[in-house]
Amino acid sequence: MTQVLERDAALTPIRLLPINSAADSKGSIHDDEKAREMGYRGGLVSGSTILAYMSRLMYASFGADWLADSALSGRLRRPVYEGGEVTIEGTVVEGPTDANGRRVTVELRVLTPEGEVAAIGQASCRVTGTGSEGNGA
Amino acid sequence: MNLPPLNDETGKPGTPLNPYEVTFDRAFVQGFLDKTGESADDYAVAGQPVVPPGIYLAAYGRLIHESFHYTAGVHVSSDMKVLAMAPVGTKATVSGEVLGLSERNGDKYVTFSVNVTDTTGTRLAEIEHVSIYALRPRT
Repeated sequence: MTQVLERDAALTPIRLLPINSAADSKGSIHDDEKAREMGYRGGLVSGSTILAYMSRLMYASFGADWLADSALSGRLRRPVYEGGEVTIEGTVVEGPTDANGRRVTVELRVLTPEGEVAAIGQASCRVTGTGSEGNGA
Repeated sequence: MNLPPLNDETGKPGTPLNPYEVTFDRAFVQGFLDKTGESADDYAVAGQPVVPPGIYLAAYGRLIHESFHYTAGVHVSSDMKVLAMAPVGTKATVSGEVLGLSERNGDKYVTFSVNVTDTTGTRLAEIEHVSIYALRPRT
Protein backbone atom coordinates (compact mmCIF):
# COMPACT_ATOMS: atom_id res chain seq x y z
CA MET A 1 0.00 0.00 0.00
CA THR A 2 1.14 3.57 -0.50
CA GLN A 3 0.92 5.74 2.56
CA VAL A 4 0.36 9.48 2.57
CA LEU A 5 3.08 10.98 4.71
CA GLU A 6 1.58 14.38 5.49
CA ARG A 7 0.82 15.44 9.04
CA ASP A 8 -2.44 13.95 10.40
CA ALA A 9 -2.56 11.28 7.69
CA ALA A 10 -3.83 7.98 9.06
CA LEU A 11 -1.99 4.75 8.35
CA THR A 12 -4.10 1.84 7.21
CA PRO A 13 -5.03 0.15 10.52
CA ILE A 14 -4.46 -3.50 11.35
CA ARG A 15 -6.93 -5.65 13.25
CA LEU A 16 -5.93 -8.94 14.81
CA LEU A 17 -6.76 -11.45 17.52
CA PRO A 18 -4.14 -11.46 20.27
CA ILE A 19 -2.72 -14.76 21.43
CA ASN A 20 -1.50 -15.25 24.99
CA SER A 21 1.51 -17.33 24.06
CA ALA A 22 2.82 -17.34 27.64
CA ALA A 23 -0.39 -18.65 29.20
CA ASP A 24 1.36 -21.79 30.45
CA SER A 25 3.98 -19.77 32.31
CA LYS A 26 2.74 -20.74 35.78
CA GLY A 27 2.87 -18.04 38.42
CA SER A 28 3.36 -15.29 35.86
CA ILE A 29 0.97 -12.49 35.00
CA HIS A 30 0.19 -14.41 31.78
CA ASP A 31 -1.18 -17.34 33.78
CA ASP A 32 -4.97 -17.07 34.20
CA GLU A 33 -4.93 -18.22 37.80
CA LYS A 34 -2.15 -15.88 38.91
CA ALA A 35 -3.57 -12.94 36.94
CA ARG A 36 -7.02 -13.39 38.53
CA GLU A 37 -5.34 -13.56 41.92
CA MET A 38 -3.79 -10.18 41.09
CA GLY A 39 -7.19 -8.71 40.18
CA TYR A 40 -7.09 -9.06 36.41
CA ARG A 41 -9.78 -10.68 34.27
CA GLY A 42 -7.38 -13.35 33.06
CA GLY A 43 -3.86 -13.87 31.81
CA LEU A 44 -2.37 -10.84 30.11
CA VAL A 45 -1.02 -10.99 26.58
CA SER A 46 2.69 -10.21 26.72
CA GLY A 47 3.46 -6.50 26.61
CA SER A 48 6.30 -7.03 24.17
CA THR A 49 3.83 -8.68 21.81
CA ILE A 50 1.49 -5.69 22.06
CA LEU A 51 4.35 -3.32 21.26
CA ALA A 52 5.43 -5.60 18.43
CA TYR A 53 2.01 -5.03 16.87
CA MET A 54 3.10 -1.42 16.49
CA SER A 55 6.26 -2.58 14.74
CA ARG A 56 4.07 -4.68 12.45
CA LEU A 57 2.04 -1.61 11.50
CA MET A 58 5.21 0.38 10.80
CA TYR A 59 6.55 -2.39 8.56
CA ALA A 60 3.23 -2.72 6.77
CA SER A 61 3.31 1.03 6.17
CA PHE A 62 6.95 1.75 5.44
CA GLY A 63 8.43 -1.56 4.34
CA ALA A 64 12.22 -1.86 4.35
CA ASP A 65 12.59 1.70 5.63
CA TRP A 66 11.36 0.39 8.99
CA LEU A 67 14.02 -2.30 9.26
CA ALA A 68 16.99 -0.05 10.10
CA ASP A 69 17.62 3.43 11.43
CA SER A 70 14.23 3.41 13.10
CA ALA A 71 12.89 3.92 16.60
CA LEU A 72 9.83 2.95 18.62
CA SER A 73 8.73 4.08 22.06
CA GLY A 74 5.72 2.28 23.48
CA ARG A 75 3.78 2.54 26.74
CA LEU A 76 1.34 -0.12 27.91
CA ARG A 77 -1.78 1.35 29.47
CA ARG A 78 -4.34 -1.43 29.87
CA PRO A 79 -4.29 -5.22 29.89
CA VAL A 80 -4.94 -7.03 26.64
CA TYR A 81 -6.57 -10.43 26.85
CA GLU A 82 -6.60 -13.25 24.37
CA GLY A 83 -9.58 -13.55 22.07
CA GLY A 84 -10.84 -9.99 21.63
CA GLU A 85 -9.88 -8.26 18.40
CA VAL A 86 -7.49 -5.34 18.84
CA THR A 87 -6.90 -2.51 16.41
CA ILE A 88 -3.52 -0.92 15.75
CA GLU A 89 -3.73 2.62 14.44
CA GLY A 90 -1.16 5.20 13.44
CA THR A 91 -1.26 8.88 12.58
CA VAL A 92 1.57 10.81 10.98
CA VAL A 93 2.67 13.64 13.25
CA GLU A 94 5.66 14.75 11.21
CA GLY A 95 6.31 14.06 7.57
CA PRO A 96 9.75 13.62 6.06
CA THR A 97 11.58 16.81 5.14
CA ASP A 98 15.13 17.63 4.23
CA ALA A 99 15.35 19.49 7.54
CA ASN A 100 14.50 16.39 9.62
CA GLY A 101 16.66 13.99 7.62
CA ARG A 102 13.70 12.55 5.67
CA ARG A 103 12.23 10.98 8.79
CA VAL A 104 8.56 10.29 9.30
CA THR A 105 7.18 10.23 12.85
CA VAL A 106 3.97 8.40 13.68
CA GLU A 107 1.82 8.28 16.80
CA LEU A 108 0.56 4.77 17.46
CA ARG A 109 -2.31 3.29 19.43
CA VAL A 110 -3.46 -0.21 20.23
CA LEU A 111 -7.18 -0.30 20.99
CA THR A 112 -9.06 -2.99 22.88
CA PRO A 113 -12.29 -4.47 21.47
CA GLU A 114 -14.10 -1.92 23.66
CA GLY A 115 -12.19 0.92 22.00
CA GLU A 116 -10.06 1.69 25.04
CA VAL A 117 -6.41 2.57 24.52
CA ALA A 118 -4.31 -0.42 25.58
CA ALA A 119 -1.00 1.03 24.45
CA ILE A 120 0.36 4.22 23.00
CA GLY A 121 3.57 4.85 21.18
CA GLN A 122 5.58 6.88 18.80
CA ALA A 123 7.78 5.55 16.03
CA SER A 124 9.99 7.04 13.38
CA CYS A 125 12.07 5.95 10.45
CA ARG A 126 13.95 7.49 7.59
CA VAL A 127 11.99 7.16 4.38
CA THR A 128 13.54 6.81 0.99
CA GLY A 129 10.66 8.38 -0.91
CA THR A 130 7.43 10.24 -0.36
CA GLY A 131 5.39 7.04 -0.44
CA SER A 132 7.04 3.87 0.75
CA GLU A 133 5.79 0.42 -0.12
CA GLY A 134 4.91 -1.71 2.87
CA ASN A 135 4.14 -5.39 2.81
CA GLY A 136 0.46 -4.73 3.05
CA ALA A 137 0.06 -6.96 6.12
CA MET B 1 19.37 -21.97 38.15
CA ASN B 2 19.46 -20.34 41.58
CA LEU B 3 18.88 -16.67 40.91
CA PRO B 4 18.83 -13.81 43.38
CA PRO B 5 15.64 -11.85 44.01
CA LEU B 6 15.56 -8.38 42.51
CA ASN B 7 15.82 -5.72 45.20
CA ASP B 8 17.78 -2.61 46.15
CA GLU B 9 20.78 -4.70 47.14
CA THR B 10 21.02 -6.95 44.10
CA GLY B 11 19.77 -4.48 41.50
CA LYS B 12 21.96 -1.45 41.98
CA PRO B 13 22.34 0.76 38.90
CA GLY B 14 25.06 -0.60 36.65
CA THR B 15 24.53 -4.22 37.69
CA PRO B 16 25.12 -6.27 34.53
CA LEU B 17 22.46 -8.74 33.42
CA ASN B 18 23.54 -12.25 32.43
CA PRO B 19 24.09 -12.11 28.66
CA TYR B 20 22.92 -14.86 26.35
CA GLU B 21 23.51 -15.83 22.76
CA VAL B 22 20.75 -16.32 20.25
CA THR B 23 20.52 -17.24 16.60
CA PHE B 24 17.77 -15.45 14.74
CA ASP B 25 17.17 -18.37 12.41
CA ARG B 26 13.95 -18.94 10.52
CA ALA B 27 12.37 -21.11 13.23
CA PHE B 28 13.14 -18.53 15.91
CA VAL B 29 11.80 -15.69 13.78
CA GLN B 30 8.64 -17.58 12.86
CA GLY B 31 8.08 -18.52 16.50
CA PHE B 32 8.03 -14.84 17.32
CA LEU B 33 5.91 -13.84 14.32
CA ASP B 34 3.28 -16.43 15.24
CA LYS B 35 2.46 -14.06 18.11
CA THR B 36 1.94 -11.07 15.82
CA GLY B 37 0.06 -12.93 13.11
CA GLU B 38 2.81 -12.62 10.52
CA SER B 39 5.00 -14.92 8.47
CA ALA B 40 8.78 -14.93 8.22
CA ASP B 41 8.20 -14.75 4.47
CA ASP B 42 6.80 -11.24 4.96
CA TYR B 43 10.20 -9.93 6.03
CA ALA B 44 12.62 -9.82 3.11
CA VAL B 45 14.66 -7.18 1.35
CA ALA B 46 15.81 -7.87 -2.20
CA GLY B 47 14.96 -11.53 -1.67
CA GLN B 48 17.01 -11.78 1.53
CA PRO B 49 14.99 -12.80 4.61
CA VAL B 50 15.58 -10.33 7.43
CA VAL B 51 14.93 -10.22 11.16
CA PRO B 52 11.78 -8.26 12.14
CA PRO B 53 12.62 -5.41 14.52
CA GLY B 54 9.76 -6.33 16.84
CA ILE B 55 11.70 -9.42 17.88
CA TYR B 56 14.18 -7.22 19.75
CA LEU B 57 11.36 -5.98 21.99
CA ALA B 58 10.97 -9.50 23.32
CA ALA B 59 14.69 -10.09 23.88
CA TYR B 60 14.49 -8.65 27.39
CA GLY B 61 12.49 -11.48 28.93
CA ARG B 62 15.22 -14.10 28.94
CA LEU B 63 17.81 -11.48 29.90
CA ILE B 64 16.09 -10.29 33.06
CA HIS B 65 14.64 -13.67 34.05
CA GLU B 66 18.04 -15.37 33.77
CA SER B 67 19.50 -12.67 36.01
CA PHE B 68 16.90 -12.29 38.77
CA HIS B 69 14.08 -14.34 40.16
CA TYR B 70 10.66 -12.77 40.08
CA THR B 71 7.45 -14.14 38.70
CA ALA B 72 4.57 -11.71 38.34
CA GLY B 73 6.34 -9.01 36.33
CA VAL B 74 4.41 -6.59 34.15
CA HIS B 75 5.90 -4.88 31.12
CA VAL B 76 5.35 -1.11 31.33
CA SER B 77 7.23 0.48 28.45
CA SER B 78 10.01 0.09 25.93
CA ASP B 79 12.11 2.54 23.97
CA MET B 80 13.85 0.88 21.07
CA LYS B 81 16.34 2.06 18.48
CA VAL B 82 16.89 -0.23 15.53
CA LEU B 83 20.39 0.43 14.31
CA ALA B 84 21.08 -2.15 11.62
CA MET B 85 19.22 -4.65 9.49
CA ALA B 86 20.05 -8.27 10.26
CA PRO B 87 19.62 -11.19 7.86
CA VAL B 88 17.80 -14.26 9.12
CA GLY B 89 20.44 -16.58 10.54
CA THR B 90 22.28 -13.82 12.37
CA LYS B 91 23.93 -14.89 15.62
CA ALA B 92 23.75 -12.26 18.32
CA THR B 93 24.49 -11.58 21.94
CA VAL B 94 21.84 -10.00 24.14
CA SER B 95 23.27 -8.06 27.07
CA GLY B 96 22.26 -5.23 29.33
CA GLU B 97 22.35 -3.75 32.78
CA VAL B 98 20.09 -2.42 35.50
CA LEU B 99 19.58 1.31 35.15
CA GLY B 100 17.54 1.82 38.28
CA LEU B 101 14.80 0.69 40.65
CA SER B 102 11.88 2.81 41.81
CA GLU B 103 8.51 2.51 43.53
CA ARG B 104 5.17 4.13 42.71
CA ASN B 105 1.80 3.46 44.33
CA GLY B 106 3.14 0.34 45.95
CA ASP B 107 4.38 -1.19 42.69
CA LYS B 108 8.14 -1.70 42.31
CA TYR B 109 9.72 -0.84 38.97
CA VAL B 110 12.96 -1.81 37.31
CA THR B 111 14.49 0.07 34.39
CA PHE B 112 17.16 -1.74 32.42
CA SER B 113 18.97 -1.59 29.12
CA VAL B 114 19.12 -4.28 26.46
CA ASN B 115 21.71 -4.39 23.70
CA VAL B 116 21.56 -6.77 20.77
CA THR B 117 24.93 -7.14 19.03
CA ASP B 118 25.91 -9.51 16.22
CA THR B 119 29.13 -11.53 16.14
CA THR B 120 30.97 -8.84 14.18
CA GLY B 121 30.26 -6.34 16.94
CA THR B 122 27.60 -4.48 14.99
CA ARG B 123 24.95 -3.13 17.33
CA LEU B 124 21.57 -4.22 15.94
CA ALA B 125 19.29 -2.64 18.52
CA GLU B 126 19.28 -0.79 21.82
CA ILE B 127 16.24 -0.95 24.06
CA GLU B 128 15.39 0.56 27.41
CA HIS B 129 12.69 -1.33 29.27
CA VAL B 130 10.61 -0.54 32.30
CA SER B 131 8.83 -3.38 34.08
CA ILE B 132 7.04 -3.83 37.37
CA TYR B 133 8.87 -6.59 39.22
CA ALA B 134 6.72 -6.60 42.36
CA LEU B 135 3.04 -5.76 42.08
CA ARG B 136 0.98 -4.50 44.96
CA PRO B 137 -2.06 -6.75 45.37
CA ARG B 138 -5.03 -5.70 43.19
CA THR B 139 -8.45 -5.97 44.80
